[in-house]
Order: sequence, then structure tokens, then C-alpha cells
Amino acid sequence: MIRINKRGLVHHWADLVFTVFFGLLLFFFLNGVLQGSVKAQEKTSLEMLNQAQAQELLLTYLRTPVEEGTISDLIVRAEQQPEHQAKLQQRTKKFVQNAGNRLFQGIVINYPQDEIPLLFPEYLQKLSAYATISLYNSQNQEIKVTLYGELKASEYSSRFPSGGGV
Amino acid sequence: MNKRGALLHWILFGIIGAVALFYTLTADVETNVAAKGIWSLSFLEQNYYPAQRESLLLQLKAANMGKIMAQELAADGGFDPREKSGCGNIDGVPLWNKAETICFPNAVENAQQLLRPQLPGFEINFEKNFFIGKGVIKNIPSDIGTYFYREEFVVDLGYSFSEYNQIKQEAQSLLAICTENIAACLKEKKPKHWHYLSCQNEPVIPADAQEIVFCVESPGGYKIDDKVVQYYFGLDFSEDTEEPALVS
Repeated sequence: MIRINKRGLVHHWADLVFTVFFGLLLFFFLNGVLQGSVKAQEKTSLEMLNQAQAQELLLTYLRTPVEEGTISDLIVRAEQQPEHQAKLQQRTKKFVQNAGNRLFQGIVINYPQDEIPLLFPEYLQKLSAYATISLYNSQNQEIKVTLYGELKASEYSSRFPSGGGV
Repeated sequence: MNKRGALLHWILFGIIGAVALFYTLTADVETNVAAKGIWSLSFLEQNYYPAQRESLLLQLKAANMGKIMAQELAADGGFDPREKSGCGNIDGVPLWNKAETICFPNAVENAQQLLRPQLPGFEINFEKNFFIGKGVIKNIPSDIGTYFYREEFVVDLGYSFSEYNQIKQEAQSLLAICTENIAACLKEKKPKHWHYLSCQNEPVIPADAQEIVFCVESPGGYKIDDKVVQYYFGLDFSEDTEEPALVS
């Protein structure tokens, strides 16, 4: 049996306390580092997931059957026939309501000549673009259809530098 | 606390401070652990969705072609404009008969023939109101993989080629009924959707007319791009002593 005097006992306890203390510090440090990295990756995954979901939503929207064929047919026809624009707006609104999805809050259609914000234009600046699909009119000119959803965290600070609410 | 104790005390604070500083400076350490789902999401983004976008554009293009073709075919009496009726023409409008010779068009075959050059490699069919195309296997390669898919589409034209059968039956019926006093007979017997020369301002049929051009509005009321489908063709009501023959 090892005999320890009073001073030795103090050293012994001090070693133990230091070991436990540094062990805890190391644990918190590694936890912090790994958590930070995982969080960053999680953010990347979620952003990619949102993009994929937005693509799916936009494709579903464009393929939605309406009297005139599909929404995409209606979009192409609305360029030449303004009477179809009201129909398009109405059907888009209905689709957004039925979808009830945070990633589908608005649609902007860029015709070769002009831009027609279709849905909730007053909130459009508080939304982020998630997916764009190009359609083509009979003259093979590009019609860009962009889906807008909830504001991306990465765009928040640049849009609202003063910290204004969404 | 003695001198050594006080030193130890300050060393402890120093170590804590150093660890905190180290942690702050190295918080963005890369762990080389790949995020979950990145490959699948990248595959969707780079391969699957481009294929879906292609399909959407093909669908749109096919719908446009199908609608234009159906209208043009009807305006040409169901014939391919490049291959006129075997019974001849009257004022550029194909005749569906010449006396006893019948030259009804095979509208579906002609429609397929018209669309083939615009959709090379596609197997084209029409079922009810649907225009169906089956193409070849295509692939979309990217850095992470290759996505294979078949080019195909199903488009609701809102129109059926089976209408030609009804119009043919009505034409046969008129040819059988109106053998003399043709103008008067047609005025009385022709269906309401049949018009002489034009569907808009229908003139009076001349009393001595034998070869007559008709504009027939879609019996089923089919509309393409908000316009009622109109069929233009001619019928020959003159009598012939020859035996009836069928010319395709």
C-alpha cells in the first residue's frame, strides 16, 4: 500500500481536479466544433432540399390541367391574348391556396417583352426566388417562370439591413 | 492562499482563456463528414429535374403541334396538303368523291404522316381526345451520374379524329338522298352544321351546282384555341354510269 502524506494528498486531488476539468473542456470544445460543422452541413442540405422541392412544385404547377390544356399552355397563350392573364392569375392563386406551401408564395412570369408579377406583388420583395423554368412561345422566345417562396435566411440581411420584419 | 497557490490560480485562468481563444479561432473546422442526402439531391438537381423540364417543353411543343395540325388537317378536308385527294379538287378544296368514286380521307393516318417530320423518332397515336407520342430513350449525364428516361408525352387536344366518321356518314347520306334538284335538296336535308362554301357568310347554293364545297363545323362542337374546328371539302353530286369504286 502506498502511503501519501498531506502535501501528496493535495497534489493527488489537484491532478484529479485538473484532469476532470480539462476533460470537460475538451468535451465542450469537440462538441462545439462538430456541432458547428454539422449545422453548416444541415443548412446546405436543407437549402438543396428546398430547391428540389421548389422545382417539383413549379413543375406540378406548370402541368396542372386547366380548361385550356395546362397552366403552361395558358402562360404561353396569355402573352398574345391578354384576356387569359386574368384566368392565369385566378388559377395561380387557387393553386397557391391549395398547395399551402411556404415555398410557393408567388409566381413571376417574364415575357420577352415585359414582366407581369402575378401573385401578391406587394409581398414579392419579401420573398426569395427558388426555381425558374423557361418555356418558349411560338416564335421560340423565352418565357421565364419563377417561383417565389419564403425569404431565405441567406438573403434576409441583404434585403433588410435595418432588421425589418418579414 | 500561498504564493504557489496564487500562481496556479492565474495559470488556470490563462489556460481557460487560451482554450476559449483557440475555440473561437477554430470554430469553422472542417470535419470531412459529408452531409446526408447531398448526392441524391445533386442527382435530382443535375439529372432528374433537367429531364423533367425537357419533358414539360416536349409536352408543350407537342400540344401546340397537335392543335395546329388538327386545324390544318380539317381545313384540308382531312388530307395531307402535300398529297391531294384521289378524286381531285375544286377551287383547291379536296373532293371526297367523284360521282360514284369515294375518296374519304384516313384522317388519323394523315395526321401521323403530318406530324412525323416534326417529331422524328416518335411513335404517334391518337386515342379519344389524346395525342400520344412515344420516343427513344435519352440520357442526361452529369458529374455524379446519368439519368435515363424515355421521351414521351400525352396531350389532351380536346378534340377527337373520330368526328371524321360522323361527317363521312352524313356526306354519304346526302350523296344518297340528293340525286336531283341538288341545291334545293341540300338546303332542306343538310345538317345545320353543314354550310355551303363558308361557315361565316353562307351564300345560296347555285341551282345548277354539281360539285359543291362545304364548310362543316365540328358536329361535337370541338374547339381548338377557342375556335370551332371547321372542315373544308367538296362533294360531287353528278351521276356517273360507272361502277362505284373506292380510292384511298
